[in-house]
Amino acid sequence: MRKVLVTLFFALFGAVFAQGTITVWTHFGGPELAWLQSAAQSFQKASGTTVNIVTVPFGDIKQKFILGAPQGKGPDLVVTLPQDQMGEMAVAGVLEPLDKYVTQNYVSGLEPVAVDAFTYGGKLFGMPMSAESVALIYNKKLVPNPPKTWDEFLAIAKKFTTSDTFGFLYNETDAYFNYGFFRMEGAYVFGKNPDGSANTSDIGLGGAVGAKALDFIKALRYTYGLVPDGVDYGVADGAFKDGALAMILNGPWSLGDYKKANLDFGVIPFPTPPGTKRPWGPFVGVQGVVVNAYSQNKIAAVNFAKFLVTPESQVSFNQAGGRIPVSKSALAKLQSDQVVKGFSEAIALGTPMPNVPAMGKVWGPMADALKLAEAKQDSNTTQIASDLVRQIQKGIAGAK
Amino acid sequence: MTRHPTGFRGLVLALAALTAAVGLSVVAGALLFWVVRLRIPDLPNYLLLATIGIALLPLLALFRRRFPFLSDWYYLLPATLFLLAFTVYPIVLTTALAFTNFSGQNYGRPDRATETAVAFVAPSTLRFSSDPRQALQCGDRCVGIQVEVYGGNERSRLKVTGEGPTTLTLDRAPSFASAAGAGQLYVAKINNYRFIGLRNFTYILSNATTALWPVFRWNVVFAAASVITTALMGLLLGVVLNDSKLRFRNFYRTALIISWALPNIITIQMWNALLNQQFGAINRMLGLLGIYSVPWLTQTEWAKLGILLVNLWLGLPFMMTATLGALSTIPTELYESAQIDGASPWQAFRGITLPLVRTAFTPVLLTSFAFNFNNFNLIYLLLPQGGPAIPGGMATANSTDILISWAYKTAFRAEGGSAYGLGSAIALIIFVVTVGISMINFKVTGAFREEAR
Repeated sequence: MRKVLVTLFFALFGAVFAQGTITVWTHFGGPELAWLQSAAQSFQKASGTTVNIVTVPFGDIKQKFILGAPQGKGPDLVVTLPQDQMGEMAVAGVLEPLDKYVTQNYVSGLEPVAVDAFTYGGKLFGMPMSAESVALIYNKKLVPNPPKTWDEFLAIAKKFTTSDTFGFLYNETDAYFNYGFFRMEGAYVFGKNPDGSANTSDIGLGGAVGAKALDFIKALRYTYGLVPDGVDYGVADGAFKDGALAMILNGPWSLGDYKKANLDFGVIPFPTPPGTKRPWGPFVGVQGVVVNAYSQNKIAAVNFAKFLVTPESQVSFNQAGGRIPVSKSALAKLQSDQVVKGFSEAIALGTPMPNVPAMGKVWGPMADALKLAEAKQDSNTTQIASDLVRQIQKGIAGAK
Repeated sequence: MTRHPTGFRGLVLALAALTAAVGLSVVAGALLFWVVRLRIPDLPNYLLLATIGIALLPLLALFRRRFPFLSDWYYLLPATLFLLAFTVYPIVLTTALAFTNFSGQNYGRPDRATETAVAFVAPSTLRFSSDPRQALQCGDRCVGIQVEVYGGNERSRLKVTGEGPTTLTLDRAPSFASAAGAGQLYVAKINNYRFIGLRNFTYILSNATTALWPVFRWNVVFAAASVITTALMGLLLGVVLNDSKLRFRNFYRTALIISWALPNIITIQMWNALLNQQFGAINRMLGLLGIYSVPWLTQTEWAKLGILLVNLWLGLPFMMTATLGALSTIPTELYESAQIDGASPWQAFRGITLPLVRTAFTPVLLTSFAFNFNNFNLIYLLLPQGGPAIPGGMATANSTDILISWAYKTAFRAEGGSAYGLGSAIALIIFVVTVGISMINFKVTGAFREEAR
């Protein structure tokens, strides 16, 4: 009995003390996680609020948050989420609109694309911390002079495609990595309404442009012989880390590991092949800190979020990992950094990922279309592109 | 020892008495919890279970004095309560959700995109700074919708009963409307979910040719083929390892059981790496033998074969152990007399081993089929995206997906977009299919008939 009472006492004691604690979910790993931990420690010293950091896999955060937050099982804030997951979570009611906590000064100090990315229904749902897109990362040891044109790119890629090295690899079955090729043929995900919001009934991935994009991606495997079957993110990333790969299409999140592997690398936008409608342009993702609408400790959570997104923090976060800051003054400080410059050029060419909930219904069908197109040399890309649009429409319509 | 009232009447009486005892203890426990919480406001809600338990014990003693025969039932009570809480309640909930459009976007929570700062002008009237119909995105009329009004840590769910150019009238005034502690007040529209009848099921059936039917067919093939391959290999190895003349027998047994001892969460993902077409160890070894690299995991037929091979590796120890167990019950005299009668080893195997192992094996095979039919771990961890896509198919139901992984992806993965209602409908279909297959199995094989006799 005494033991029970003692346990009960400590349980209650803990509950009372928990007031000064906030919980953070993060998908960061490696040097970025270390950065977050040290930021939490300095915040703890400055404010007295204890910060608990919990690592949650990137793909699980949205579901766990939507299901857990209303039951009081969510974290106080998430560091960080990309904008394509934000719309659905805002509608599900778990994100706190942050307009009431931020100043006009803060908003105007950010890149406009970052503010747009986190604005949904006219409200700001996250504090943007970094931007990212894929770009061509090359190993300077193998490629001293980066390719300026498509022909140069092809010559270098073919030169290194041998029995034990690779010229060019990337995650060929993932929609996010391939969007740039859709974009250069003139495809788009959603059209725009007159007021600038996404028109989810206008899907621009099908038709001749969609088929042409799929044909190009297929050609990377069959015509140019660059990306063999079975290459996924891990394979491409691993080969680059080992120094066995000359060029990879990857984003700033990977740079921390490349630095750790002592690679000398450079970053440029992917060279657009001739005869396309537009230059290659990737999806631009903006990642921001979001606050739980059901948090019992919103003020502390918002304060920590503000602490994480200051221009100084964004610069040190860039140095830890390599993601691109979204604060104008942080970008100005990093002007001379060639990697930041390369990604900034790619981001300038790209389009922001739509942040409407319907975006969730695009990824799966797009990955399926890529897999189907790449499976066989004679796959019917026209049919696959029109199936793709039909699947997205079906998904958005749902079982209404 | 007291006599239990007999027949149907006795059963009803006992159940009624038990229900009354549990019901009363819930009421008393809730009361107790409320009283304690008046003193300790931070009491966590789960302690309600403890107060109910505290109330239940004296009540049970009291009921036993009045109905002495109830003590028999007390042995069953804990198990029954657990069954109700963890089996019956989820089934009821899943069934109910299958007929709704419950999802991330229809979640019964305030849609924060409609959050608007408001103030109370009268106890139940809200004043907006602009048109409430636009702010709350409720189309032409806001009357009838549900909203949540909140400020600080207070919140209250209310219904709109009237509207003006910049005001909304609510059905009642929330308790904190005038309280100073609430601070700035906000209102947001509730994204309610509703009953949609059979529409989830018609959606599934309208996609039957590209999702339900291929997934179901592969599911049955996968479960059946897994049982057959593991049972045959297990039987073979079991018989070989049972031979006492075999040297290093225990070493082989231990080595073959390793795949069972390791957590399959890890081993399955190891297999994913091993089977990679370009860089996997399997294809490297095949390459040394001069075999062209096999597209494991990327071409439909090879992916299915790969899954069956991995499942053979995973399921073998179970079947082998079952065989060894069954073999140890066969008396050696039978083989000795067969030998004296001049039977060949093959005849002894066909005439003695197989028939005697069969009785012990049938329930094992049925269990294995039922397990593999819902073998989520293997299917989802080996190929998280469900393997190669089906032309014109859904992203949640690819060529190596089985029913359970389809349901999971529909409800919980990005491809499905948090469609919990639709996921529940698929789960319900799985439930019906599994019950049907089990009934056919029991009928055909006659397993468990002895127990029924």
